[in-house]
Amino acid sequence: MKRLWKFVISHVSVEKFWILSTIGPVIALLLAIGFIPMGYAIWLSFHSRDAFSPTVDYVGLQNYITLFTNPKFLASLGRSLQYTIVSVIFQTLMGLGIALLFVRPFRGQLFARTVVFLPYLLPTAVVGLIFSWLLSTQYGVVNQLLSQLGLIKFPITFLDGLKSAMYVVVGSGSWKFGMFCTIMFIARLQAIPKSLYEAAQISGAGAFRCFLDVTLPHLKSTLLLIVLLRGIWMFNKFDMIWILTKGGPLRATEILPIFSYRLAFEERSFGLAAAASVVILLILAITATFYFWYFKPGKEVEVE
Amino acid sequence: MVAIRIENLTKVFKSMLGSTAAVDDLSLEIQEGEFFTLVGPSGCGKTTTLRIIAGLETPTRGDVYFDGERVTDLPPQKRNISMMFQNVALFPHMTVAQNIGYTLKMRRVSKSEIEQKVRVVAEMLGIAEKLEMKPGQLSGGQRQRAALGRSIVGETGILLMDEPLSSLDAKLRAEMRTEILRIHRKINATIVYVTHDQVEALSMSSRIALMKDGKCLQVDTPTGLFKRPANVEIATFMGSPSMNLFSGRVIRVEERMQAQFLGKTIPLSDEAASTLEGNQDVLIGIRPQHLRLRAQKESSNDIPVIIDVIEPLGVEQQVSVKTAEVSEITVVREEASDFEEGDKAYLFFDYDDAYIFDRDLGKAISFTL
Amino acid sequence: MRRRKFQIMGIYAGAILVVLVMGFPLYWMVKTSIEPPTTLFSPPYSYFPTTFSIENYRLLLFETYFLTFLKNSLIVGFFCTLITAVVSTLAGYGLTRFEFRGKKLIARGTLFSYMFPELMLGIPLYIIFDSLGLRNSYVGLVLAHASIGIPLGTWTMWQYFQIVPKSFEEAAWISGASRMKTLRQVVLPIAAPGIIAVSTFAFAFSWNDYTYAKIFQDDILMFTITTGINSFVERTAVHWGLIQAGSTLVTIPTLIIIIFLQKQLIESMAIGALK
Repeated sequence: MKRLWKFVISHVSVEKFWILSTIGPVIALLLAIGFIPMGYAIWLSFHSRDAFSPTVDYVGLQNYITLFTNPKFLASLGRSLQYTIVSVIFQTLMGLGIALLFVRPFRGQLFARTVVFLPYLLPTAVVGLIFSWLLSTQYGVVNQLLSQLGLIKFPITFLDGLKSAMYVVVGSGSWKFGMFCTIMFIARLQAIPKSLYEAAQISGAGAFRCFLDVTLPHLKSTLLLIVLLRGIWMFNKFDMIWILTKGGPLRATEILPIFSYRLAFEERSFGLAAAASVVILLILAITATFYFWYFKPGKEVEVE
Repeated sequence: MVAIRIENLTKVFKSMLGSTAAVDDLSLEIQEGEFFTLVGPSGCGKTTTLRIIAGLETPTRGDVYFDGERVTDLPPQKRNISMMFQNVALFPHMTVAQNIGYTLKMRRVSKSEIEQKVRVVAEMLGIAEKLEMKPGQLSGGQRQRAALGRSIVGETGILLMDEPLSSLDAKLRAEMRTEILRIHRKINATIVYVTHDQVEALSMSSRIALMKDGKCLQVDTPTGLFKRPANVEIATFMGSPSMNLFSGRVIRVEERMQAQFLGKTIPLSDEAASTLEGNQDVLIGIRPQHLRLRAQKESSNDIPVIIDVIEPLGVEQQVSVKTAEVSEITVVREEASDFEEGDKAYLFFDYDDAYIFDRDLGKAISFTL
Repeated sequence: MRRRKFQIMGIYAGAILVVLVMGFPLYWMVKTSIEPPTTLFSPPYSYFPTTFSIENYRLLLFETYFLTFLKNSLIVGFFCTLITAVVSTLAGYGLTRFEFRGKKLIARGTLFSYMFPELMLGIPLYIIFDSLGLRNSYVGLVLAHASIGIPLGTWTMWQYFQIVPKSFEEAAWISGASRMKTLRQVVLPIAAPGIIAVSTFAFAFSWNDYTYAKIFQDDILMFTITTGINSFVERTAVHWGLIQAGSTLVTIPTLIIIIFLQKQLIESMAIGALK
């Protein structure tokens, strides 16, 4: 071993050694558990590998054609888009609202912030279960509350209703993920120099104008970033919805990741499932590229 | 005409360690058109006072009056004032023109009128070509000019400035000082200026309020503060390098009063003697600029010293000397190469330039020996 | 003056409302878990607990595999965090301090891999792990979790090291420290907040993960707490009491982390994602 070490040292310059040992692990790991599996998935999408044929045959674009001509797939795609867009809008607005509320110091702030941050760090699985319990038609306390307040006559079938299921899924996701937005917004809001607000006030700006002229411009880049990140994550979301509805009732909340999961692990059609996943990736990649090109969220002029 | 009046202003901040009075029962009157400076060490309450005048802080007690009208409860938007901040506070995403014209926009002045006024101001300050650029593209000095422009375009009559030059380098600071003075002369507004730099205060103001620990120690013209400080603290704060202080004693010998310090005994002038009673412990103060050195002893009152450190300052030089009793006396004189470090020399000065302070109370007793 | 009082009251009212809405589900979870199991299925429920019982917890800890689930989650979480932190920090350091070909490519690639859908990696990894016998093992899950933590971690540390001035290291080198020593004694302490942030996220992700745990482990003894708690949802009966109790227990470490690291979390999130 020692001889090997000596060999290495004498032949590789110190700088190269450092480069290798710092970047090496990351590259190795990312390749092994990131890019190679991804490559495999892409390869797989061009083959058929399922429970029926024990062999793996090359089928070209057949999988993709099958998918895009399948109305269930297209419906699933539509739902994914709907879920993502509505979730992102809701989470961003909610996150911003709460951030604005909490940004100035007030009594009990530590308690309030703790309670408010907690949802984000909870496992999605737990969140899903909590809401299943809260919104259960028979045993859910929300129904009880609503009927006690006189707002409804019959219990609402939150998770079993075709329409309401989507709302529930968006809502529970926002309960947890809206807080991510809040955390980001608070961080950014706290970085805005107080003197800018004061200068605006002295110049005669009221509260609304201050928000418009000082707060919003500073939030612009954060907003764009948050929308992008949340968009990617919501589009990829699997666990929350699976736990709440398993894609039901009757596929009402079956978004693409769930569709893909079912293909892979219930029907065992790995090729098709891989193709579906590739579609997800492509949609994300194209959207992200377009997003960066158009909005350039990285560019911001700071003067301070 | 009294433009701004502060009456019994007190501001108390509560913290975990208790409460501190940042401003303690302060009362001031600022005349219209004055360049009034609040100066003092960090934490003396000058910035807090300014912010209360601006409406950015509310006082715990006391009132603020503009032109006789009570404005203590008015929010800053309604006070019709302008302000310059230490960190410029230009809106980074608006152009310079939009920044300067912001106040007018808030007052719903017509677009063409805004454009015209902004242009006039920008030309007055020499930044007319930068109007369409964003603040990030301007240099530090240009940004300050833009901030200055923003504060004068509204023609508000009262300009507040919170250490606007402290983030600039020495040369820019000097330039901006001239600029501000020039503007002041032109628009004749009342300026309330806050700084911790007493040189700045002395060179710009028509009147200065020296503050410490929330209280005002003395309000006077620059000359008054410099030449007739009310006590030792003020005397040593004003002027750079600080005044030299020597312990001494004043005694009465028959009909005459004498001062003893640095091993010498000097008879007091009639003017000085008239303010003193019997024997007293005192501090004798002399500014470094008033002390002189010569190689040969020419009078019995010359004080023998040894040259310690010579610091060339260009046109002047700062010389540290020491005696048997005092380890450091600072002298500022014209640049010369007549002495070297370690040489023996003799210290002398004009007795009119010395001050006498009560050693226990610090109060100034006489402005001459 | 009146306007200001209105504003303050408005903020308090809003804050109370928000805390109620955000906190109620959690409150309900805890309350349910400390009530006797018999009250679970007999509505209407009272809003404040009337009877207390630790039966749910007893059942959970002693008659289910919960402790096993917990152990699994902790082991996986720990190793995943360790790997992620080490690899990300090294990578972040290397990316900022050295110049080499393909550097931009690697940085972009790291960011890009962040976008991989969980499922997209899950399917091929499932097949690969299956053939390698890594399914139902710790190693497999740790690697899978790391695959998500490392891109974000690397990017965060990369941004972070860009802020840390090189002059600290240069001062150490001039004083005679070797690069290795400098790394340990100077760079790491300064990078500590970033490392803490990355570790927190890596651990949070691993702790919270359901997707990969579900895909890779089907042996109940290898379930993590997330899949484990969900296993209490069976076809015939849903053991709500156990679920709520388990959820409450799972929440406690998270609570502790938030209370103590609140300030650092916000700061490091700001640096990591906003540059």
